[in-house]
Amino acid sequence: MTRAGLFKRPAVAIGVVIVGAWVLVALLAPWIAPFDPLRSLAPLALPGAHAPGGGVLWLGGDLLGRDILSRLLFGARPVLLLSTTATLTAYLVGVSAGLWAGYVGGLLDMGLSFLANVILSFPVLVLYIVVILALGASPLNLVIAVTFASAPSVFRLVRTLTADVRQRDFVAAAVIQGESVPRILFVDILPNAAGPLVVDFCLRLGYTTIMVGVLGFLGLGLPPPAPDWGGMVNEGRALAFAFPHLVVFPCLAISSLVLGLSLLADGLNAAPQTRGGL
Amino acid sequence: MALTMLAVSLLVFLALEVNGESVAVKVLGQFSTGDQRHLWLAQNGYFDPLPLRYGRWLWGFLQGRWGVSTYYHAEVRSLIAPRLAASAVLMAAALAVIVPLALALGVLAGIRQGSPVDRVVSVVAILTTSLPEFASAVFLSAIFVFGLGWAPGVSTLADGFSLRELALPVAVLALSSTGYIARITRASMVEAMASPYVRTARLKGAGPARIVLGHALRNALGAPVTVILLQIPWLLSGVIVVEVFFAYPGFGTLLYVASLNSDIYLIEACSMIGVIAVVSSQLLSDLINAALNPRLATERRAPPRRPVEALAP
Amino acid sequence: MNPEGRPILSISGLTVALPPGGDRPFAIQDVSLALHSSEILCLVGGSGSGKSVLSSALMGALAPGLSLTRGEIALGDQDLSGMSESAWLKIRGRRIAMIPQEPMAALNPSMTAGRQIEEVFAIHSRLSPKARRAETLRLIAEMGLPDPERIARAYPHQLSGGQCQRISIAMALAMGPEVLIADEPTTALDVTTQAQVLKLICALRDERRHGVLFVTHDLGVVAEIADRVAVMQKGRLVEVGAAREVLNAPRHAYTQALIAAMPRFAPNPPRPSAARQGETCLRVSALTKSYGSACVLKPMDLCLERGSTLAIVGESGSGKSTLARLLVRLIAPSGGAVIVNGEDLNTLGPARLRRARRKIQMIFQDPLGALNPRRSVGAAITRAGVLAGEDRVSARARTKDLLERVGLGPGAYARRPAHFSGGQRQRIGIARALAMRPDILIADESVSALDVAVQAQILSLLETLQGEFGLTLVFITHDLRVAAKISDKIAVMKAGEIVEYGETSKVLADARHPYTRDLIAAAPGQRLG
Repeated sequence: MTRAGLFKRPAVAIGVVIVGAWVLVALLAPWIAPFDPLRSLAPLALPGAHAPGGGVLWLGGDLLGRDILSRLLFGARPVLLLSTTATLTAYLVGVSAGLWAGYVGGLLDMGLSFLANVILSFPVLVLYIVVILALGASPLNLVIAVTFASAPSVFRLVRTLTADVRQRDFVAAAVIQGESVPRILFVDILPNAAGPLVVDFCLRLGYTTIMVGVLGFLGLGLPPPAPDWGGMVNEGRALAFAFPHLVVFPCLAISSLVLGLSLLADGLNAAPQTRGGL
Repeated sequence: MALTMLAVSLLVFLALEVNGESVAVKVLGQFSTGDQRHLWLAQNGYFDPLPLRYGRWLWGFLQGRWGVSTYYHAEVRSLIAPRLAASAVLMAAALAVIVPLALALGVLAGIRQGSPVDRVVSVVAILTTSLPEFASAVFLSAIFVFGLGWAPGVSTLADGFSLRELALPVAVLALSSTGYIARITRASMVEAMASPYVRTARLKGAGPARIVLGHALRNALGAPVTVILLQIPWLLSGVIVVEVFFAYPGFGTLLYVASLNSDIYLIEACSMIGVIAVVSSQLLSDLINAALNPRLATERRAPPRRPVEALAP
Repeated sequence: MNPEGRPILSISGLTVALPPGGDRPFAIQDVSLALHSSEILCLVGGSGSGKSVLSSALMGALAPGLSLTRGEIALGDQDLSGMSESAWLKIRGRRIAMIPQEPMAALNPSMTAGRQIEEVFAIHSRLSPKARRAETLRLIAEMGLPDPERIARAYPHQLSGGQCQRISIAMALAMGPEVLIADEPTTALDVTTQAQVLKLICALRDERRHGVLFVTHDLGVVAEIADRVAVMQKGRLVEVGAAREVLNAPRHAYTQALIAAMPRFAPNPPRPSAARQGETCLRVSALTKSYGSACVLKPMDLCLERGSTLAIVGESGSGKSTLARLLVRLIAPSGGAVIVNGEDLNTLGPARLRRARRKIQMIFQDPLGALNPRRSVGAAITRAGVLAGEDRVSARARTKDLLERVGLGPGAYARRPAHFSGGQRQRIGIARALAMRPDILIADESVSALDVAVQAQILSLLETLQGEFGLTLVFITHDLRVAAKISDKIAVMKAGEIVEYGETSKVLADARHPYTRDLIAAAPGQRLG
C-alpha cells in the first residue's frame, strides 16, 4: 500500500485531522483565544455567559473566573510541547542504546537490559513521583521524568528489532564486505526496523500525553497559574457536582488529542508493510 | 529477581536519601533553621559514609522499620497495611471484570476477522484506551452520579466495605485496560487462526468449535496472558488516579498525600512495595507462560543453529 | 502398480478465479484429471503453477477470496463441487485426506502427537477413548516408528522433521480415506529422510490401495514414485500421462524444459579445467568450532586450487553452514586456521582483515533476505565497490557493467529488491559479491530456494562467471545432484566432520564411506534416462 493509499483509510484521516487541528490550535492560540487565559473575568460562569466588558465565555469560567476556552486553547501548548519533547528524547536515548545493545550483545547488552528492567519495575506513576520529588517540579524536570520512564521501553523494542534484523543475510553480507558498524546500524538495521517504531512513536506520544495530564491532575505538573489541562480538572474537582463544565471540557480536550494519536497509530499499524521490510 | 530488587532499592535510596539536606528540610519542615537540621542529620547518621548509610537503610527496610510518616505522625508500617489491603481488593475486583471481558471480546473479534463484531470491538477499544483514567472517571460520574444517581460520588468506605462504592472505581479501571487487552487477544487469535496447524485441523474435518477451542485458543492465549500480567504496573498507576478521584482509602491515596506533602519515608516505603508488586507479576507471567507453552518447559539445551554471538569485525 | 479401471476421483473443467488485480484472472483453468485407486499421480509444476490451489480445491479449503467458478469434482458417485461446509466436514479427513508440506509447523505445538491422531478418531468415529488410544498406537507403529508409546506422548518440537511427517501421514490415514493428497510432503526434509518417507508412501499405497495425488516440483521424486504424471503451468494442465512416457518422451515444451533443467548424475564431461595446477588459493587447517562443550565442527583440513570448484554436501546439522561462516570469518573459530592467499584470516588486525576479506565473498540462500529491502540494488552494489577500494564514480560504472553481466538490464540499478523475482535477486547477490573483486566465492545453498528451471540458469551463470573472472568456487548444498553437476571435488559432511573427500567423479562412482553411499542411493531421479 502506498503512502497515498494510507490516507484513504478513514481512521488515519480522522487521526491526522484531530492531531493537526490541535497542533494548529497550539501554534495560533494567542490569536484565536478570545481572552487572556490568566485573566479573571467571571468566577464559575456557566457556558455561554457574557463577560463583563464584552465577549462570551463559550465554555464558561473556572473557579477564578478565567475563560475555560482560552485556557484550553493555550493549554494545548505545554501538553504538545512536553509530550513531544519527552517522547523524542526518550527515542533518542532508547534508539541509540537499543541499536548498540542489540547489535553488539554481550556485556553491554546485559548491563543495559538490566538497567532497563530495573526502571521498568516501577509502576509508572510511582517512578514519576520519585523523580519529581527528587528533582522538584518544573517543565524541564517533567521532561526528564517522562524520558527516564519511557526510554527503557523504547530501548527494549529497538533491541529486539535490532537482534531480529541482525540475523538477516544482508547484514552478514555487509559485515563480510568490511562495512563499518555505525553504517551497518544506520543504513541496514534502522531503516528495516522503522515500521514498528513509527507505530510505537505515535502510541507513545499518546501515553505521554496521558501521563502529562495525569501528573497535572495529581498536582505534580506545571505550577499554577499556567493553563494545564490535567491541572484544570484537579482544580475543578471539588465543585464538579454543581459545575460539571469545569472538568468535562478539559477531559474532552485531552481525550480527543490522545484519540487522534491512537487512530494514527492504528492506521499505520494496519497498513501492510512494504514487501521485504519489517 | 533479587538483583533487580537490590538495584531498585539503590535507585530509590540515591534519588531520595542522598541529599541529606533536602531530607532534613522535608522532615523538619521549611521553617526549620540550619542548626536544627544539622543536629537532626547528625543524630540520624546522615554524615556517615554513603555505603554505610545505604546498608543501614536497606537493613532497616528489610526488617520492617520503615520510619515515621511526617504527615500522619504515625509509623509508616501501620499506615500501609490496611491501605494496601483496600487497594488489593480494588485491583482484584477490577481484574475480575477485565480479564474475562477482554479475553471474550478479543476471541470473538479474532475468530471473525473483519466482521461487524470485530470492527465494533476495535473501535470501542481505541476509544477507551484513549481516555485517561481521570477523564473516564469524570464522564462516568457525569452519567451515573449526576445524571442517574445510581452511584455515590465518592467511595470513602466510611461505613465499611460497600459494593456500591466499588462500582465506579472498578468501572473506570476496567474501561482503561479492557480495550487494550482485547486488541492484543484479537491479534493473537487472528495469528493463531491463520497458522498451519489450524489449517491441518480444518483438513482433518474439525468443525469451527473444535478448531477454536481445541487448537487456536491454547496457543493464542500466551500473548494476552503475558500482557495482562504486564498490565499490572499500568493498573497500579491507574489505581492511584482512581483512588484519588473517588477518595478511596487505599494505597494510592496514601502515596498521593505523601507526595503532596513530601513525606519522604512514606514515599520510600510505598515505592518499594509498588516495585515488589510489579516484579512479582513479572515472575507470575513467566511461570504461566512456561505452563502454557510446552516448548519452553521441555526445551533441551542444544547449541543454537545460528548463534547470536557478536559478528566478528 | 497398475491403476484399476474406474477413477475414484474425477475432476473435469475445474476453474478457480483469482480476485481482480492478480497477474492472471484464474488460479487454475479448465483442469480435468482422473485419479484411480492404487495409483500415485504426481502433480508437477513450478511456483505459481496453481498446483496448491488445485489440492486446496479438492478439500473444499480454498483460501478466502478464491472461489470455484466452474467444473466438477466427483468422488466416486458423490459430487463435491458446490457442497455446503457441513457436508465437507464429513469428507475431509475421512474420505479425502491431506499430508501438509511443513512437517513441524503443521502440528499443534501444544498437543502431543498421540492426541492429535486420536482427534481424527474423535471427529469421525464412535470409538471409545481407550479404543482410540489403541488404534493410534497401532497406526504409529505402522508408520515405522519405534516405541509408539513414547512418540505418542511427545510434543512436535521433541520430534524430528521425518517423525513429524510420519505423524501427519498417520493422521491422514487414520480413517482409511480413498484419496490421499500429499502437498510437497518431502520438500522440507533431508534427502535420506525423504527417501524413507517416499518408501513409506509407496508401501502404504500398496497395502491400502488408495489413490495418491502427490504434488511436487522435484522431477527426481516423480521418477521415483509416480505411476502417472500431470504437469501444470500457469494454472493450466499442459501434459498428463503414464510416468514412463511423460518422462522419457515429453510432448509439451514446458515439460521438456523441466526435464532438461533437472540436475542428475550424468557422468560429467571432463571439465575444461581452468584450475591452475599447484596454486593453492584457499587452505583450511585443523579448523574447529565449539559452543561451550558442544563441538559443532571437528578439526578439518581442506585445500583448494585456484579456479576449481569444491562442493560441500551435507544434510541439516552436518555443520556445513558453520563451515561457510567460518570461511568468511563471520564467526570466529575455536581453533585452526583459514588461509586465504597465504594469509591466515584469524591472525590479522582489523585494518588488514578488512582488506583480506575482499578476496573471499559469499552468496546466500534466501534471495529475499540477502538484500536490504530499503536500499536500491545499484546503491548496494556500488557501496560494495567503494568498500573494495574504488572511488564512487568508477564503482558506479562497474555496478552497471556487473548488472549486465549477470543478465539484468541497466534499469535495474535504481530498483529495490521487491521488484525482482527470486532468480533475479540471486543474480543481484552474485553481482554484489563480484563487486568486491574476490578470488573465492562461497555459495551457501544459493540455489536451494529456487525453482528447478531457474536453478539451472543460475548454475550456468556461475560457471560462466567463474571462467571469466577466474574464480574459485565453494558450493555448499544438500543436493548431491547439484554438487555432481558443477564441482571438481566433493567433500561430504556428517555430524561436524568430513567423511569423504575427493574428486567428484571418483566419489560418485566408488564411494568409500557408508553415509556417502546412502546419500547417493537416496538421491531421487536416478532412474531417469
